[in-house]
Amino acid sequence: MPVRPTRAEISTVRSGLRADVEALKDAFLRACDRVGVVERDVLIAGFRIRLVAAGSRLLDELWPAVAHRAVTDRPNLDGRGAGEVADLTISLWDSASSAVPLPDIPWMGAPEDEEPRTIRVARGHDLRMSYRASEHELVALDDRTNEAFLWMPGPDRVSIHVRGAPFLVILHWWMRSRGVHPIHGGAVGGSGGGVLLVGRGGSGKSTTAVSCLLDGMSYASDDYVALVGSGNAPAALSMYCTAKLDPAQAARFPELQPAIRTGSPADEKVLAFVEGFMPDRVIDGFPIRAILAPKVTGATSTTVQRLRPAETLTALAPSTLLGGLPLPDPTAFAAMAEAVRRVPGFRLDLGSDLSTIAPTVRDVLEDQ
Amino acid sequence: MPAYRVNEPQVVHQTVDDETVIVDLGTGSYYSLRGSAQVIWSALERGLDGPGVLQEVGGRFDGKADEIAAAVQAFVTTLADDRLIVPLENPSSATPDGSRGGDRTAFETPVLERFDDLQDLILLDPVHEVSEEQGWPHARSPDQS
Repeated sequence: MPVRPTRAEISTVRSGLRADVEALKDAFLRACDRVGVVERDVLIAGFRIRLVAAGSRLLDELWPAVAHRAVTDRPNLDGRGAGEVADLTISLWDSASSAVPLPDIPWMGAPEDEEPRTIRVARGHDLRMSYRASEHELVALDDRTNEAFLWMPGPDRVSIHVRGAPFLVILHWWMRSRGVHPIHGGAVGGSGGGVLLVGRGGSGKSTTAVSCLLDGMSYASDDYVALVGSGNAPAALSMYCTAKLDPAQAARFPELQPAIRTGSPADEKVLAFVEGFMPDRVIDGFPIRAILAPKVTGATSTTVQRLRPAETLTALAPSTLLGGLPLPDPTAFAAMAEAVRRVPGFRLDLGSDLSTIAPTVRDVLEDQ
Repeated sequence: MPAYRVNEPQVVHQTVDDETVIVDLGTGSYYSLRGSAQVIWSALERGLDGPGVLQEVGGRFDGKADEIAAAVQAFVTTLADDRLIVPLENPSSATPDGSRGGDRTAFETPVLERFDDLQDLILLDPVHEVSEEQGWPHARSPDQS
């Protein structure tokens, strides 16, 4: 096994981030020359994001999670075409389908040799890059030109996390300076308002979100939403139209089975794509009327209990700030605190009878 | 007791309704403070030194001065041990906030409520800050965002 570079070895390399990003761009363009270009636009949190892919194979893996945000006023293009100006352009490619290798980026070391949980981050003026070994994902953002790059080794290496929430690191970095904060939380409700579901993985956010979806409520997300509205009423905007459940829990929702796509046998969870399953229940977003922190209990029925604002913030903020996204955003903490000041919080004690979840959430919504 | 500052940017904090939530982005621990603990944190955040902190606490709570002083010192030591605060290199002339009125309440021992359940999410590798011009491991200059 190759030896992972040591700090001393890397220190001999004088490689500026600008050169690294340019090398990525060159490789991306070579990949485009080999396999062609596919462009698609999505509208996320009011921003037009242009996805420019070298070939379609990697994009096809990432697309279903954002398909509900597709912009339909502009046909997908083969080749660089004119169109509406994008707020952010994400260029993506993979080595397996393009046969263009990742250029040498000294500070990264050798991606295949990294410990699975390693996240390497490089930051310079206007430039940020990260490599998340667990997701086999290298991203770069130039905040000055609104250009981003995403590389993965191949379309068959896309993890369930990336498949469920593609481009998350890029959006997390790019949106923050524009007053929008991707936060770890689900959101369900209706056009007049909804609830934000918060808590660490395994707390019951997805179970709650799916229960509400199947009960007829509108669905924005089960895992990540864009929080906007610091200074005004906070709102949750949909970024990804997926639901991530452990297989045993997914089996308790037989109606959801048509939406589930199985990934790698190694995946701990399964992913459901709501857009193709119940498109009429997918919603762009809504004002947040209440914040619910689900908790699995041994009771049969679901109940709620009011939380102090700081308790709500404790349920909401740490899992966003510590959730493994590179370069956590302190301004997101302030935005979450502002939301907690403006919206009541409740602990949602989940009962084993799933049919009691959605009516309880509806009761909370109607009381606000 | 010297003056301290919050160990930013590794430590971030927000206060809502007289309770403070603290997140240590380096260790993955997070904390909740209320009551006298929140008052002490607020005083430290403003750069008050030992006498200033005691004056602030004494203005808000009833209790025996020596017992309050001992409890405050122990609490500050806990905050410093967890690296939530670090000594202030250049203490300013911060003064206690005498503007807060309201009913005085009996002093209760400050408690640092600590949660470690998310530590498994934190990175195993440290974040390597990279200078754009020089590359890793040269630290970025302060004017770089």
